[in-house]
Amino acid sequence: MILKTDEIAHLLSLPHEKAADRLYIRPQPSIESLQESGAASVDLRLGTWFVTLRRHRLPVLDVIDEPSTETEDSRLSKTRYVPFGEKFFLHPRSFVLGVTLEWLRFPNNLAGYVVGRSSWGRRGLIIATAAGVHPGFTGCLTLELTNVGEVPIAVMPGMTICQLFIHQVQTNSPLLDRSGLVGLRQPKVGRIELDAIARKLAGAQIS
Amino acid sequence: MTPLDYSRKRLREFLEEVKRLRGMEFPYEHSRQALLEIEGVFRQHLEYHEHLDEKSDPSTVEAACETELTALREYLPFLGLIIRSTNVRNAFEMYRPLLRLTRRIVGHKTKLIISSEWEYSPLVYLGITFLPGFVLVGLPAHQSGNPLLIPLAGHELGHAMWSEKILNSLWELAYRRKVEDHILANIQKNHMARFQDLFPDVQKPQDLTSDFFGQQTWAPASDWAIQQCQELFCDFVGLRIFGESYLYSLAYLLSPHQLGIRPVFYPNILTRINSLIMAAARYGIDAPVGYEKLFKDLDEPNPMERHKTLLLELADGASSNLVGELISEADSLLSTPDIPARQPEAQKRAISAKVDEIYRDFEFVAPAQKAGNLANILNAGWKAYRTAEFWSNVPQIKNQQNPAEFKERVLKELILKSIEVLEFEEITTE
Repeated sequence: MILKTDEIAHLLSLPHEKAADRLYIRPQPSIESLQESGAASVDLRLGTWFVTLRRHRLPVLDVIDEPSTETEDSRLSKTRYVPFGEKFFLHPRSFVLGVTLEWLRFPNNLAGYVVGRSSWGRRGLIIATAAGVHPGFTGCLTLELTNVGEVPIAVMPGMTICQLFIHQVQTNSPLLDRSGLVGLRQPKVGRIELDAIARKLAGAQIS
Repeated sequence: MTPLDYSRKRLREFLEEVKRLRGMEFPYEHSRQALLEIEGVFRQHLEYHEHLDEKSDPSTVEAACETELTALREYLPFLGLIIRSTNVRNAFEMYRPLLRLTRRIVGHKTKLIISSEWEYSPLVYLGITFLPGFVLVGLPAHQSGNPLLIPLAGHELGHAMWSEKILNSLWELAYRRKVEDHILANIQKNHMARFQDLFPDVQKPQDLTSDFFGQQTWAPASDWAIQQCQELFCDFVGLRIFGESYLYSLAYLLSPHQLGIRPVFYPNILTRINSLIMAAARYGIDAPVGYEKLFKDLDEPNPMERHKTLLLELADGASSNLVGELISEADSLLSTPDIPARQPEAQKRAISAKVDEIYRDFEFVAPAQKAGNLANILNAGWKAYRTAEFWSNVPQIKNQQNPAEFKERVLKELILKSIEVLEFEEITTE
């Protein structure tokens, strides 16, 4: 069941005693606007941190041979900070990781997904592709921004960039986010872990 | 090549470097503005040098070259500091709140550069000839992204306040007079024979004040005492602004002590710490129980250095004598609504309640909202940092390979995000 904004407003306003069930979105959207909106999603804003790939150091993006340390990560990507009031220019066909300004903290009985806003999509800016938010997630969401249009697009921290749909999870067991990307304020590339089957298949070369 | 040729060459290379640096990505404009100021001054140097030639007066040429070389030596380190202000390892989120604070307590047009420094102790650069109105703060490079150490910037802002509010006022004269009176009285009452033994120029007590050479004998003690007063004042400023978190961050930086002889410009560590505990009591701040046990004094100078030992004793006595006044001075200069006092008791309770509210948000791994000020966030952050069982029941943290390390990383992220939320609220409600 997708929650409507008045229900989201209710979850954001739960008292501290019920904090385990409380949904946190900080900076918090206006409760009054959510109560009146009648929509089924909350707008999220673009944050101040971006990550771009250092393409000249990256011969190929081989997920089987991924960088395994923070040092390797920073050798292959560059972090940028854009303060409020400044612009970040996204050129055609460029790809950059951004982050939501909002830090989310989901209780164990909620999940969600993030989609881009159609107003941005119509201008060529594609934001994430059904990025899932698991129960128990806490932190800022990494966004994948791509300009598939013909002209550069200027974005600014603080502008609404995507929307968050929130679902009730029909279970009492603690389904928790295990992505390892919890508690981050900056965008993160993250790992692609090969599962046991994929690892076996990857090693099945005929010699 | 002549010295003038070398001088012109050096200036052109320096200006070329400044031009290159201007193309860097500066998150905040004051770094770029500082570069422009420096560039303007060195361009004037170059123009002046280009008017000189072989017919110019040799002493004029020599003076111009000396001035140029001195300025290069002075300003090159600032270029380094400005470059490091762009490093994304820095906690950029703290910039605007600290600028806001600086402008309220130092001057509303102050420009701020926060950077990292390859010196262990945080540093502040003030009164730079060609950068009037700029305050440059350098935090130790490996800690420049650690929000728990932000309170140490309070000590550095204290230097800016001292320079702006004390040195430019009658207070400086008043302090100097009190320091001198204390030193003279102390010599005459307790150390006259020892003093005459070490400084034979002083034949009788009147020589200490009426004889030029007599005055010079104890002048270093007076200068050291004034500088010690400044350091104590800066500690009180940091404490008054940031409360308990200043005490914790100071312990993080200095506890227990480093090896070596104490610098004369600081009171020894335990004197500093005991003065801070006294100030905490006056400001209504709860110093941690046994705080002083975290520290040890640095070594005093070798007793064989008899002159230095005596002068330092006199300086220590004079600065200790002014602790009470310095505590009051910092308090009165910082009495603005943005830096709420923890007195009377009701106000202290209100601040504690706000810190507890932020702490409770942190318990649920959520940033603070409506935190009020930087100090509340940092005090809640330190409380969480010091609580061993904090997040011990949060599955995403306790199930990590190294939960303690993970906790520290997430907590720092949470504090920085809370600071950003505070700034977001400031901007959107202005």
